[in-house]
Amino acid sequence: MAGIERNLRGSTLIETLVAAVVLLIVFTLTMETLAHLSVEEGEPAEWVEIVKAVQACYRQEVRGEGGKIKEYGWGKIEVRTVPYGPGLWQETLTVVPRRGKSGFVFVYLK
Amino acid sequence: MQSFKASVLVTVVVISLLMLLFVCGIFLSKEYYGQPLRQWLTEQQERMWLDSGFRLYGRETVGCLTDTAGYLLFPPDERSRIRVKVLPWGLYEVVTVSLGKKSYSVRWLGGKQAGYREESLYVCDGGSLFGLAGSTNVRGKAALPLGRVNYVPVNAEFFSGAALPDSAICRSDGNLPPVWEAARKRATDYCRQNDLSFRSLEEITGAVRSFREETVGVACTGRVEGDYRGRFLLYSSSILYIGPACRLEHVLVAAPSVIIGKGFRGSLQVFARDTVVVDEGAELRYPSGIFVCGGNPGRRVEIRDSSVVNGYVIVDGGEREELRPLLNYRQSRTASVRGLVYVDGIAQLEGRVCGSLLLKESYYFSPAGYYKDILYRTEVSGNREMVWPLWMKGEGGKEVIEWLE
Repeated sequence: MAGIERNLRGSTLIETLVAAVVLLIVFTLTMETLAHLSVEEGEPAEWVEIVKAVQACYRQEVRGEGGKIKEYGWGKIEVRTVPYGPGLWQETLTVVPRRGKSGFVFVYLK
Repeated sequence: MQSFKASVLVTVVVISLLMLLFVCGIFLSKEYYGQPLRQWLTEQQERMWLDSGFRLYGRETVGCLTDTAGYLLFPPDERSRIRVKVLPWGLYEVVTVSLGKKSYSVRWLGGKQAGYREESLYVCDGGSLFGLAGSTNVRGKAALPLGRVNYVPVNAEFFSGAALPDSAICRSDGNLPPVWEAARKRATDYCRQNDLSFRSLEEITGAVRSFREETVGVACTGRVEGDYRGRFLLYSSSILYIGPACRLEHVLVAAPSVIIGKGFRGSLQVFARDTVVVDEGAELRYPSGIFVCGGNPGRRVEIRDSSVVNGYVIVDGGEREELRPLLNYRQSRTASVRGLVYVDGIAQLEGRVCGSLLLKESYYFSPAGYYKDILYRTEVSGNREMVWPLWMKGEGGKEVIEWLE
């Protein structure tokens, strides 16, 4: 505009470099965290499958002492059966999801 | 003149902070949405431990299960310490298994087997041959007098049912199989209204009461009014009528005589001294029962047309004083009982029994006279899946019938 004079001053090279490094670090951290989170927790749909599989194993009849591994798309369930008392079995279900590292264990009588 | 400074570093710091905030938000939302899963894992394990408690109790393998200190299911995991409380409720049991202070489950339990014998028909051996007549069918094993069966005509109607194979028949004893004396005493106490320790409410017409609370007695005069569900004992010192308008669930009823009216539907255990009549079209839902105590020669249970009893019918015994036969149990042709029928007296039975039928004596009264040691127009079939009242002595253990809470 006529009559207005503006004096624009840019950043220094050092400022720009520091800014670029900070942005790079934060961006990398963010991406890494997001990727890590999604891998560790798995998908909600996957958890539904896990819940269904655990319930199916729990309902199944005991066929004597021993251990077996059931493979699923999301991972595996290890079933271990040992005698508990007369006519009773102790069953241990170890759920191991393929993605991530947090499995869990159920123990009960049948 | 204005001067603007283009601050790249500040802008980048602000953007970085926003990105960090976004990541924090993601973390929080993951935490929030992960909560139901963790909760499910905990609840599932607790439920499994509660189920395990019932299974262990049902096997009766651990004597110290009902100790106040509880029982550690899976040492050394203290979280698996269960506490078991048993409430004998009529001829069943109501068992509470709790885990910690918050988790508990209340379930209705019965016996896994009707007794130590597995016959679907048992008739005491009085020394004379037993006969099947009309369209009678007996599926399963039968313990009969002399270990044999005779097919006889009644009123010129010949036997038209399926003949019993010899391999399915064995010889019965002179008496009915043994029963739990503790159960007999408890049921007789209900009938005679002895030692019933409960708080009595005089003026209520219907309520729901948890089995974790104390028993409440309700004094009724003439008829039951209102809806009652749970730990109630409805009692009367005179004849009691239960009409179709009231809803009863899991309650006990004790009176000298009880009439269950036409069209009634509900689950209850009736304990009477003299007479119980289940009128036409009434349905006693599982787990129900009728018990008439011994000692009264005129005691009688009558199951009328189209009525159904799911659970048990027990007419307890006593010495026969009358010379002429006096009926203690009568089941009409279109009535059915699913469960245990135990008559320590004289029965005239038609219709269906799906479960176990144990009779001291069986008659059929016709207009022309009566037939002794006979079963006429009756369908008897065993039921292996049934959970029985805790009446007959046996070692089968206990099983859950129903989840209450």
